[in-house]
Amino acid sequence: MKKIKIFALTIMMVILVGTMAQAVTVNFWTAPNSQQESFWSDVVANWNQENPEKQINWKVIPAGNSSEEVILTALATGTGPDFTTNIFTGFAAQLINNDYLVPFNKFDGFEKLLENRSMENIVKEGWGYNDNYYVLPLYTNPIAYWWNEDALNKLGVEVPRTYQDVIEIAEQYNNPAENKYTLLTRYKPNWWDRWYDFGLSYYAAAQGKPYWNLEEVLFNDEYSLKYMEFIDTMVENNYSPLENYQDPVQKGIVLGSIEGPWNIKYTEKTYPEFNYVIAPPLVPDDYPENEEVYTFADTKGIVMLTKDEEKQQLVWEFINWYFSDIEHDVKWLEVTNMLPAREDVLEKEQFEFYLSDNPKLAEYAKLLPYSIPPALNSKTIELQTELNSVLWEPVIYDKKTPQEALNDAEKALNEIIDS
Amino acid sequence: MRTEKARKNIIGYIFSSPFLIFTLVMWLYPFIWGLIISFKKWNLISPSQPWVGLQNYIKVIKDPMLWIMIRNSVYFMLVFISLTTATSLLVALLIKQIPRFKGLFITGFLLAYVSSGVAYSMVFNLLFSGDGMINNFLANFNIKIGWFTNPKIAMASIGLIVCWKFTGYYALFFLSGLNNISESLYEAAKIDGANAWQRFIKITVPMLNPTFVMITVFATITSFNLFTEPFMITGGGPMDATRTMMLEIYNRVFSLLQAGYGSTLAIVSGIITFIFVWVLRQIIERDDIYE
Repeated sequence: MKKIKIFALTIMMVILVGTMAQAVTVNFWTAPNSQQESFWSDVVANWNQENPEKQINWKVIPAGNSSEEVILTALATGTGPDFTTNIFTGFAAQLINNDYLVPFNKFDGFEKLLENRSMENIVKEGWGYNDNYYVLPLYTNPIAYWWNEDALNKLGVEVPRTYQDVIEIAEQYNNPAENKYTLLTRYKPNWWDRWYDFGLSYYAAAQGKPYWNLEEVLFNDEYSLKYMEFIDTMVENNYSPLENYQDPVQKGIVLGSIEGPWNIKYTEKTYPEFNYVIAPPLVPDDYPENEEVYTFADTKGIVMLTKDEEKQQLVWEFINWYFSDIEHDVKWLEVTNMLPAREDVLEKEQFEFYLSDNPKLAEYAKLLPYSIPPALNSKTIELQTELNSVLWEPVIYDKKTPQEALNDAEKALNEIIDS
Repeated sequence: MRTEKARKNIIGYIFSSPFLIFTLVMWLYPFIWGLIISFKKWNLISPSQPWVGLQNYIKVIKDPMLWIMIRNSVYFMLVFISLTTATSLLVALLIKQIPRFKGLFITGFLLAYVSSGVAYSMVFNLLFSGDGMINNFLANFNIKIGWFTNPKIAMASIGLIVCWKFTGYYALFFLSGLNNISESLYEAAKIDGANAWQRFIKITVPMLNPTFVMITVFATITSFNLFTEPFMITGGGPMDATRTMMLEIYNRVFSLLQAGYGSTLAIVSGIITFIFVWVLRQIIERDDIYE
């Protein structure tokens, strides 16, 4: 009897080892933040349970200054993932130029997938590169202004729309001695910060026109001049603080600041008494009142890096499985409070149900049709690093006039594009 | 006889081999690889790595950023060395006076040195923020300081933080130096009528010269290798006021994918550090202390 048991156990182990040997495993990295970590952990666990022979080995992108740097280092050392999220268009272009990405349109069912997830226009209008589609967008976060509602009511003023509106409010409200400023200006030289101030404001002023393209810089015009003159005025008059603050708008240190929807839940939890209004970006004083205002969209997607065809097939199956089920996007919205990159977010009742319970996020959702991804260029990181050194800091630290800084920035950035 | 010597040599090599292997793998190989890359143009992820000769070296020397970084490092060095030498010597003198629990105090001061650079940088960032504890205290005197946002003082603020980290560590060296000074020297000086200040200046300071030299060398290397604090707190800003060699090397290689340029900068940075250490040793090192 004992011998039979040992024999049966051995057979079972052989079968188990055989099955494990057959299983294909791919490495999947996702953005390093707690909400996304919680979301992907569940999604991948479900997939792995349903597909024991097609396993996903999931982990968050290791800690670093930016996901881009970590992914590049991993690729350089041969330790990168087979597919990953958290990729913006410029970084994707950089990876494509170095032959790291696999185009999704080479797989059967690509068109059907775009249709199923209702993202055909989004992908084809904003995510193509060299007639191929290497990135499938996961989410689109329109960026907007938050204004302290109680303070505006106390002042008896409307939510500011133009630069001049803010300056007029600042003249009444600003009092640095009491830590009361009007508008937060980001001073840190992180390259991505320029998306949320310069990029956003340029889109707003120029009605969605890109600030650069693959060939040249386009921003040295009246739109950026008016915005940089506005920033110059704000800093020069101490209407914008240059000290570092933690949650300045929530604490009432500044009246307004530029924020993303990911801060809504944090603010509700940490500052439940804080009342605020979400508004589109500020525009120049001559901007028509009835025109819609464009804004910057923080939007990231998923890319495939593996060159192994068996693994590619598994990744494609997973992506199909994920995008074909609307419940994944519903759960994504609930867990992360970030809007899925779909054209039907404002129409589908599954999303409407959640948005009606979350009016602040619904305000962001209204901006979706006017939200534009970063202007495409494979040298985005280099360009925005230089933009900070040559334009942003010299103006806020009063080393150059806005026009001088714009001229210098145009020259320096064009040199980078041409190099 | 020869066999015995050979046997001893082999044993010696076996015992020192872990260190030799570690040095070869972790230092020599990356150094040679870095040296090779400095003569190439490589974007870190591309298989193409064309040779460019001395082009990277010429670019580094012509780059105005190099001189800004040297200026920043010298500024930091002046703040850091003067402040840390003073505080660590003071701590060592105080600990020497304590009759009991010396180990406890030394451990307490050393905690700063072993704590995570990322963690304490975040804590100091909050302490020095516009509504942080320091500015809230200064508000009582109608003062507000942009510790990390004013280009003129941002590097000095970072110097303060690094001083906090190294005070306990350097105090250990001073304590060891103080313990090596013979009590008979102080007793003789007392008999000759020297007061406490004179004993400190004429005996303690000269006798601590080797410790001063060692700490200056360490602090100079730390100044040119500064990375974590500016990386975490200022990102090299404002207006490049806290941009250091290490930060620029990191940015060039990992953000801008200029591995060739970054490696060249690393080699140039090593040479500059060596020159500074050599010059400082020439200035402060004395051979005649015991004469």
